[in-house]
Amino acid sequence: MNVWLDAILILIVILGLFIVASTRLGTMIHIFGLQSLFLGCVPFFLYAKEMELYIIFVCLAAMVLRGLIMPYFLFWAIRHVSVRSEVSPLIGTGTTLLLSGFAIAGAFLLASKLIFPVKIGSDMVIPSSFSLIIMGFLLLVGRNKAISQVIGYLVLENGIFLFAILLLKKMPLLVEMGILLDLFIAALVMGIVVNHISVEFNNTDTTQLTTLKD
Amino acid sequence: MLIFLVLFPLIVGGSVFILAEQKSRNRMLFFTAFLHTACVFSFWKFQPAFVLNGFLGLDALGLLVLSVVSVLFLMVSFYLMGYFKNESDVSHRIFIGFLLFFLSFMTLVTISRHFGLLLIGIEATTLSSVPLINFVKTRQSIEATWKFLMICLIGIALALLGTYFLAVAGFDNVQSLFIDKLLNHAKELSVPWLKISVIFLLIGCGTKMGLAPMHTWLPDAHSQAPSPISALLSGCLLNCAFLSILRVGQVCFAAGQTPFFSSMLILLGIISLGVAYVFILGQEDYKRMFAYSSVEHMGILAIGIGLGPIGIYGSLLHVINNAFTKGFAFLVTGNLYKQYKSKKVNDVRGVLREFPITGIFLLAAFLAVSAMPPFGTFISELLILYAALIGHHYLVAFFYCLFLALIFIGIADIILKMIQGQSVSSVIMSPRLKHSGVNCAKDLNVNKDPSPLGLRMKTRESLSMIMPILILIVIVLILGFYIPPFLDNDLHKAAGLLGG
Amino acid sequence: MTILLLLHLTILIFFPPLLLGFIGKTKAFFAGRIGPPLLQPYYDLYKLMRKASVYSVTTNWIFRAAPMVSLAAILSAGILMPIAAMKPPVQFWGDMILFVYLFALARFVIILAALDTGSSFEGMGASREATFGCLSEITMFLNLTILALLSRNLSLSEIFLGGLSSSWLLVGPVLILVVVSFFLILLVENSRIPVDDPETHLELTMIHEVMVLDHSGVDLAYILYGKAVKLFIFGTMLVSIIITFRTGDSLIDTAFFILEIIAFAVLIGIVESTMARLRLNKVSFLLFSAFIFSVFGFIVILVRGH
Repeated sequence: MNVWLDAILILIVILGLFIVASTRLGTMIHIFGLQSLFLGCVPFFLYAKEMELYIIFVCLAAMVLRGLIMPYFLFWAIRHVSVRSEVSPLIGTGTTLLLSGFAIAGAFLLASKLIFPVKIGSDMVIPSSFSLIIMGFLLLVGRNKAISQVIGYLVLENGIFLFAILLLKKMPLLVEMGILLDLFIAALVMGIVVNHISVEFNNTDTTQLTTLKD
Repeated sequence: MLIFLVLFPLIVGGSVFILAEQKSRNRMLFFTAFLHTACVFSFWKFQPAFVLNGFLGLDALGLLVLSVVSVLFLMVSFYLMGYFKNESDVSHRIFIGFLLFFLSFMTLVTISRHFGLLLIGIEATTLSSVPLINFVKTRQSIEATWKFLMICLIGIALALLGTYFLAVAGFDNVQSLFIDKLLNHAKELSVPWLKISVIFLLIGCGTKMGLAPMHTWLPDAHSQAPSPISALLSGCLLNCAFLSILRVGQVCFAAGQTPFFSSMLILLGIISLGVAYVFILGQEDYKRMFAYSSVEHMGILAIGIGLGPIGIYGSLLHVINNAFTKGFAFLVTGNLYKQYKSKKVNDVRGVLREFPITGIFLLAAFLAVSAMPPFGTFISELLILYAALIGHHYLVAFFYCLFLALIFIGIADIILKMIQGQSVSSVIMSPRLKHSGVNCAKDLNVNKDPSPLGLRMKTRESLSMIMPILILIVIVLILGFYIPPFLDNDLHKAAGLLGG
Repeated sequence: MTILLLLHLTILIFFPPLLLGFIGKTKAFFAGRIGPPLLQPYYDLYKLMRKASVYSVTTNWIFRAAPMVSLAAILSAGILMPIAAMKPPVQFWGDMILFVYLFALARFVIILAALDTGSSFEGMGASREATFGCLSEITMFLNLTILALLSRNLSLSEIFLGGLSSSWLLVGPVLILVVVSFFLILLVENSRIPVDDPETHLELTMIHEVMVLDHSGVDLAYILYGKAVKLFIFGTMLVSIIITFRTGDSLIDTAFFILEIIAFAVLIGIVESTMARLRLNKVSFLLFSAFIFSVFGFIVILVRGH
């Protein structure tokens, strides 16, 4: 059992909880960046004995893209926004936090049912990834600010990336990089749209986006 | 050749940003689309080889969807020449550039032989269509863009997770995400992981395809995008997403998990039909109505795939019919919007009298969308019903017929109101009367000659806004009577890939 | 053996107020003051002990009994808890559960006494105490369960005397979760600063202090002394979770333990000086976090099948 790997995974999930619990956009972005940096470290522990050059490359790329460029870009997208905190989220932070707790429990139960074909360095990788995915969903559903929803999406993507790390050996570098790049562009486009929203509506509250309905 | 097909629109799209003149940009667009179509047609004669270590390749399914995409894109680019004629070219540079990127990525989706690449293609189509949907930059269009972007991106994220699960399912022996390799070793895939992967992929790609519980982005995006873009979204993008579901279906068929896959598709399909019916009924926005009709047709496609060999054949035929039908239906709404400057059903009256050509087109669109006999859609929907009946899926057949009939009534109610009667332009002058039916009718009878406002609004449809629609109508009509042997052959081959 | 037991009891009974002294000194240091002498809590207790109690006419025997019962309960909990490497005077299989519920009893009688005064102000404090108590108790119990699972024992003395020695190497991350969660609970249970301010008596947001406003003289001395002992027991527990290494020599261990617990007091002082008090509705948030931390740790342990 790899204690350091476990520690990092627990830290990643706890940072996810912090994102879920915080209401300030700036804090959320910072914590997201931190989480991504830790996420990029996971393969170094998971594949410590069988390190290959392309793994290092993918990890570094992930760390730089997710941990540094994206937070910077998200700050750019909200530079005009004056209200930088989630004032009245759809689902309160306490409730979201409690739901996240249940989500983590569910993720661990689910992961104990699904048996991974080969032995992996830590049996906490899959549950942690599921937890992040569910927490991302909770943010997407429960928050009103467009930027918090973007962060929710990114947390969800972090969870998927954590799962993808398990497959790093089997998936060609091309696809990994392509997906990473796609994610980056997705965040870019979302940031631009958030920017449009903030310019058009003077803030990024998606509760105002309700003119289109049946 | 295949690489060229992807890269050429990409490069032209990039170069369009440099071009200064709007006219040359339009010509560039049309030329590229034409060349693309020509290339695609040559593939019917000469099967292209796999390239890039087998990442790219064209099979019968891909060829089918690629041709549909290419032809519809050609028609839309033709149409756009007339559509943009009277508008200032503020952001056309971005618009046409991204339109070409969109074509390139859709091509990538149809020819990729690797699940990872497929998903990258689908995500890229989403991202490249964002500036297209947000073309007019009103509050509503930003809202529609935001919903489209968020929901589709989440869908793709789930599909990505599904793809990873698929990789895990083949962790022991397949060890790759190449479709051909997966198909060859499908029997050795781990079943629980395969099933969970299919669920995630269906939900993910179903979101993009507009299947019912995940369809919420579709009506907004279709109604807020410029009409030619709605045509492309409905005719090309949804079919690309459908193709990715078919790829999953191929793997399921090879792994002997077809019943699981079919039942899920039929369920989603029936839900889509029901949702489409509920929202079409009394719809106030004619573009939204056509958008919900897209949800309906996607449901029909899903049901068809779930119903065994004949259903699969019918469903694939319906891919072509539906793409062209929806394509011209949305182009007609483009004409309507040009004339009436409104998307509200109540603002559009007496189309047949004021604009006879558009009126006839609208009537054709109505008949084709609701699958009336002379059109190809009738044949394909009938095939699917037949498949349901001979497969003893009576409950499915019942709901299928019920919802189709109800949707027919719903659409007829809306479209016939628009086509018939007097022009509302005179009524627009006195909004007080607009909502009181009796007064309104009296007013119309008294006031025979059109008001000055009506005169000013009346502009002639240009040739490039008529021809593409006419061509598409003719194609759908021909498909109603006669399926050419080369197409039939390809359809059979494609159905064979899915177990039909 | 007897000497060790005596030593244990001596530390348990006489040391706790000194912790408050250290906390006070630390806070004074951060504020740039000299602060009260280290032994000030003892002087305070002595002063209170000499004074007579004043009882309101609306109160009955519950109000008089509560301080004694609560102090007795807390001290009983103390004799179940091993200090340094010394076995506690009383130990049996399952004393962990008694330990948790002795604190609950102490809380319960104080709440009753607060309600007994009939003052709406104290009733409000009682309701707050009960609300936060519910959440902190379950978290506390969950944390102890994790420790019990790790050391495969339900007795506090077994858990803290060697039961956890190998756990840090095996499931260090989980223990970190437990420590963080436990520290948050400790702040809530002992009404320390981010939750409650032990030094003011006038704010509407306070929780514990408001309940004991009507107590005076010896009764108040009992309550204050009981609080000090409670803080000491919690501190002992935290220190015992973090530092599992013991030399085996009782005297050296005890000396080290005294240093550790003083460091703990200084830590509390630092937290109190650097943090502002939370708004009342954020306290439940803090408790939620503590709860989720320990749930998370619990799940990991369950999955690991320790």
